[in-house]
Amino acid sequence: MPRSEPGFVAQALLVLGKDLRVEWRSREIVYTMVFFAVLVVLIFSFAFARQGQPMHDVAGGILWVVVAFAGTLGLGRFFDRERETQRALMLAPISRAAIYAGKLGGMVIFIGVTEAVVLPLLVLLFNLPMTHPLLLGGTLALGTLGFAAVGALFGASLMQTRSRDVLLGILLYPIVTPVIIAGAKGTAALLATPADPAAALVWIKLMAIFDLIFVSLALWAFEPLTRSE
Amino acid sequence: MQISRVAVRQVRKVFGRHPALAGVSFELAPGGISLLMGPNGAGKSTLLGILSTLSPPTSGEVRYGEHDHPTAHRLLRGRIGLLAHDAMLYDRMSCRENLVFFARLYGLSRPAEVASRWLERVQMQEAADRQVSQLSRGMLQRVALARVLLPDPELLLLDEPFTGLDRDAVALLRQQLKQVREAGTIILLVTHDVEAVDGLCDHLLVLRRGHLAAEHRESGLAGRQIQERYHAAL
Repeated sequence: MPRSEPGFVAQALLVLGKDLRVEWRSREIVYTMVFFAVLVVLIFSFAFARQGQPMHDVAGGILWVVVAFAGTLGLGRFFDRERETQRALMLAPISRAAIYAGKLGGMVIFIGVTEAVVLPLLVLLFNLPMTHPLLLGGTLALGTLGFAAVGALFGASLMQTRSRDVLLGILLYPIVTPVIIAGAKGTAALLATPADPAAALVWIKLMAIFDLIFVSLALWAFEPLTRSE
Repeated sequence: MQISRVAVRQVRKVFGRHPALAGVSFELAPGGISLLMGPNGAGKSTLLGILSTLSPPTSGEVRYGEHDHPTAHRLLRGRIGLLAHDAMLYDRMSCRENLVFFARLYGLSRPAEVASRWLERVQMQEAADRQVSQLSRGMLQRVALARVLLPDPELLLLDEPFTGLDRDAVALLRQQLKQVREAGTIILLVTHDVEAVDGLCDHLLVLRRGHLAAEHRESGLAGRQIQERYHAAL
């Protein structure tokens, strides 16, 4: 039978397209993540109030706590869905790195949708100024990429492990902590009154370096980590 | 054909301290169907995992034509088909969408046509656009068979493929296996349903506690012969 194996980008897009189609039909990952994230923001908006007014300076931290926990919730289900089909995917003549890239793209989109709901809610509840929306968008994008890069790697490698939900948190959080801290500090600098874009840029650069390292390492490590014993 | 034959030599697989396979050797050649039997825990699924290249042996050698196991793992992906207990299909996608997705992954030209052709071959055209989650076990197995056969694998590994199938589906699977055998595919089948494979296989391997307890080569092994040889080996 004539074959023309798709290139790396086409392979990754095939995996991503399949994941988006499955999620569009079930909507269980995004709905769960958004529901959890909105609840956390609401609880924090009541908890962090001084004389009846919400405290601006904690908003950045809340946003990234939400990203980390909602992201972990989504990661667990995202890879749980692939447990049965993983072997068929791994036997296909496509690059393992392309599978990783497709999965990474899916996770970035799911977390991005959650952020798109949570950020306006935070702005509203904490009465935040939005003076540098582009820089804030960049901070969110880079932080999300860093978190998803490590998350997709461990999510895939723990797919066949019995206590994967516990192990995912144990392995993931220590490694993504620098990205979460940089995201929280960068966001806080941008949402402060007055905003400090220069400080935010330093954190943004730091996140870009983390992302470069994490994505490169994950592309290289995905194949050995997902090979079953 | 890159997989002209499969040679398994002294293959061992150890999980912790437990040897699942303890030095197994045999050869698989094209043009025949090999039947692998053994009681639970004998190492059948472990052996299929190794032969599929998804899992490496702890020691010993597996050769796929000119390729050893690590090379085959990189170069022969797409030439090995595995049908296991799980259908390995996406629940939220239709039968057609699943087959088109896998046809694209394998780089087959005209994936939609390939999917339609295979849906017809496994007699699933009427349920082609139903979501996989709505299929019965037998229908699921038919689509899984189409998934595994659509890229024309050179080595076909089947783990209990007759489970949950009605008589028509068993006949369909037997017919497909005969066609695939005639095309020169190497087939290794694991099943305890000796009636379903009556007259189909010409090579019997019996595994017991990780060892190859018996090996017989005989054209068109009848179900009764398989049963007798299996019990004698145990």
